[in-house]
Amino acid sequence: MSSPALSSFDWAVMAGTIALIVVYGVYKTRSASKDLAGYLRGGDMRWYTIGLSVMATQASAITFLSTPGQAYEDGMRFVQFYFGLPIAMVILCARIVPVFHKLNVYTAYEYLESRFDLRTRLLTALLFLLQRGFSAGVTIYAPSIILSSALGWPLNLTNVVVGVIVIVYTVSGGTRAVSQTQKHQMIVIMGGMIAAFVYMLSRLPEGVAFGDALDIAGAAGRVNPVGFELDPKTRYTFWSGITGGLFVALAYFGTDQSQVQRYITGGSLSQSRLGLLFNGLLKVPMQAFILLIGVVLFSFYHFHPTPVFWNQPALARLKAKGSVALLDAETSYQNAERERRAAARALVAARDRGDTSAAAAARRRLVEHGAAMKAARVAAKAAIKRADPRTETEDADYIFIAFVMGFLPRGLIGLLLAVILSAAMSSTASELNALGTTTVVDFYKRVFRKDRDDKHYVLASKFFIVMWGVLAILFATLAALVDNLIQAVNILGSIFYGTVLGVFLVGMFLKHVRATPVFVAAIISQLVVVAVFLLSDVGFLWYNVIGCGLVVAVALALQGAMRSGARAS
Amino acid sequence: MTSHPGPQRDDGDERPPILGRWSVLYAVVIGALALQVLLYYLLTSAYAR
Repeated sequence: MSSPALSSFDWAVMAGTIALIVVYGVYKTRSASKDLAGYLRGGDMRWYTIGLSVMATQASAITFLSTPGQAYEDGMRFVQFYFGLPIAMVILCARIVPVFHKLNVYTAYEYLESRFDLRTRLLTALLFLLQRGFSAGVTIYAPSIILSSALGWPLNLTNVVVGVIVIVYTVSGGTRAVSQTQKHQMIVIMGGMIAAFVYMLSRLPEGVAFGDALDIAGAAGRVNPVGFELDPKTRYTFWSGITGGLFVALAYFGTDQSQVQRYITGGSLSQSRLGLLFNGLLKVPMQAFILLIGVVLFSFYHFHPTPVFWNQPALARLKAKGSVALLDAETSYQNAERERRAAARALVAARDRGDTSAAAAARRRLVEHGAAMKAARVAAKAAIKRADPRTETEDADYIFIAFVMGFLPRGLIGLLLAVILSAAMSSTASELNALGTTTVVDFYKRVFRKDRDDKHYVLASKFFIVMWGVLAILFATLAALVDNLIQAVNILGSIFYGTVLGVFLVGMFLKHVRATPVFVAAIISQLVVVAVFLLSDVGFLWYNVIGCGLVVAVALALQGAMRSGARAS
Repeated sequence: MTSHPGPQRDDGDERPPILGRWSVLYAVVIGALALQVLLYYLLTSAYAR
């Protein structure tokens, strides 16, 4: 299971794939930067470019590194989180995208000035810059920490290389380059994942078919894409996906400039709508497919030895310290794994013979030895935490990369690394593009320098994209010094998302509410959410609901009070 | 700069290039979701042990 050094052929495939996509994207869009509309809105994108660009923006490197590992540990139930997304796409197409198109906006926040006033626009744009500015750093940092640990690459070098390449093509070709590049990145990403899946199936032992793999995973409860239970403690169910998932998707696709900028690039309203519906059709099956890779990987590893802790360089380092508890846990894990392998082979043989009672007995043994392995892993993680409290014991992110490095043939390893780096670049490019656009359009051009020509604003846009890119790289470089940084950024996002969504919902659906009530409601909501964060232990996903609900309720109450006051006077 | 950068566009009545009406396309997307949920439910049931 040790990770081999990357061959020169893999280096060539990885670097060649990335260079080809970037150079072609820059070449195709070299004339896009003449005027501000061309630079920031990207011209007349076709629906398939918009759809792929929207999908590439949402799917970061962590999506492809973490999701198979998540399915390995928890099965396919995470797919339900995306059930609200197609419904959100329909709502956006029917109610929100036509408004953005009619107003001919560059940013989502411009709409809020025409609907309410300048201060509401600036407040929401500022909240976006804060939240997305931090998360751009994490988009670069999160895959770097896994690649540096699994492959021994220098952490800061990975941060800088990914960041600088993205800055170069985002600055040179603007929004058009981002979308064009994302189209090809998405094709490489899906091609690479399909190739890894097919190769994984081909490497199952002789006589073990896809159906056997599903049966093995099913015995351990991993084939669980839908559940209708009403238990609120179960995070991913049909109900939470169709409600909470809808809420999150509406907020993300409707109010986050990194997504809005992708679909307002459409040459017409029809192209934008078709791009979003394309995303609505393909996102759920794409996510299910990535989870299925993790499920088949789970079965695959029933026939190959696995480590007790997937971050293997960290495991080797801690074993060298001579922790007896860790070595004991590893021995228990390996013993249980041998038994589980025998049970898996017995299950396949029983299925071949059509012996249902022997198959049922083998499934029971699979569950029993799987539970023993899980207990040994818990003990190993506890020993690791005691030996080095700074070591992160969540190791699911390392499962898929361990397979890539340990089992894929030369060439395919390079392609999969190109997939991961392409995903990191595509998400980061959208973020930098949106951060630069919002800074120029909502602040620089609107407030500070109102009457300059397009050439000046294009230059300013390039300057701000570089500024945000350098900040993102610096943030990613300093991130290693902060514990639980990814969670911190997720929390930060949830603190702001609810308020911004609330303002947009009031704007779109409560036509009688005026500017002052919604602005005051947004300030109150934001203060309450920050207070909830500081003073309570409410789960951070609920901040979205609290923030949005408060904006709507307070704005309605204030509007009602103002109307009553006006009548009385 | 005004509240929006250019002249307002009025392309709200554009018809989709396929299936005639946007409401039909929306129904296709929701229908595809319903079909997938059914498929995933059958998969879950088939391998629930």
